[in-house]
Amino acid sequence: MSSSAAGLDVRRRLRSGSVDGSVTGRDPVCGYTAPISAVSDDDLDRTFFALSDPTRRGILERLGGGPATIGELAEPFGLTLNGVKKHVGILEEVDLVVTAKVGRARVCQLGLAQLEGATEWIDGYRRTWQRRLDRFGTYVERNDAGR
Amino acid sequence: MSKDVRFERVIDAAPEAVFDAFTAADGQKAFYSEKGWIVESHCDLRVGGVWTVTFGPSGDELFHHEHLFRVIDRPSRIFVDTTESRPDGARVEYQTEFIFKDRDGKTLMTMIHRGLPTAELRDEHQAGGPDAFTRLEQAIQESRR
Repeated sequence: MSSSAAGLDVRRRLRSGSVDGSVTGRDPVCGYTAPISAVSDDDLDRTFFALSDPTRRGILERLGGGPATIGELAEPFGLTLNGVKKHVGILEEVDLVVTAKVGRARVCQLGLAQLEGATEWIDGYRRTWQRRLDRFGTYVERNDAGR
Repeated sequence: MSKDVRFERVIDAAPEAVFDAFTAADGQKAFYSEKGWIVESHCDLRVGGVWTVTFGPSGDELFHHEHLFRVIDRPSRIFVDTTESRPDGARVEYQTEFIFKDRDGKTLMTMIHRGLPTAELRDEHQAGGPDAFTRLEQAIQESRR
């Protein structure tokens, strides 16, 4: 099976629930540091730790272009299969990547649930600070106009 | 690729007015006040001085920011070391730069966060590594194509 066909199979299994792709989410943020429902600070710490390694980010970028087998991931990074498996394992622990055995190969693809959780955290962080700046700007404009 | 997180706002007032408002109690309160939130701000505006802000939706859930002034250059720039304490006891440290630039009689106010809010990302940032936030966003965008 080609990697693209394998990817379709993984996606099909994700939809059917046979691969764990459960969606986690965060409550609307009033402050980006506020505790959020399904994604705990610990989850985020582990997610960001997984992202702190350049090889693992490279693997995610490669998977952004579509599913790949462990062997296909190993080649561009000059890693052994075991080396890639170790990195993929760390990404898989935080659901940044999901894998499925397809024939003799293990196919990897992005696990969007955690990525979206982390992105929402980042978005909340950006929104909170931009809102502070906007609110201050409005305050100055109101007061300066009266002078 | 930028390693900083930047926020910008054009404010319809001269840089001097914006700078002075930002270093005054009411302006600082406006900056931190969400609707109905508690905000207490105390500012010792001098290099080496500390601007402390305690804020939150209730007395049971208060955040605390402590900004240590490193550079005060009226009306163009403020640079502070920021320590953020969360209600759960966690602490995050980063640097914040505020830049006030004249733009045709208005002010382009830029806020830059240097350092990122997890220890791992902060360490990576200090080592000059790639911006994980940006790369994460890229990976997400690529995955959605």
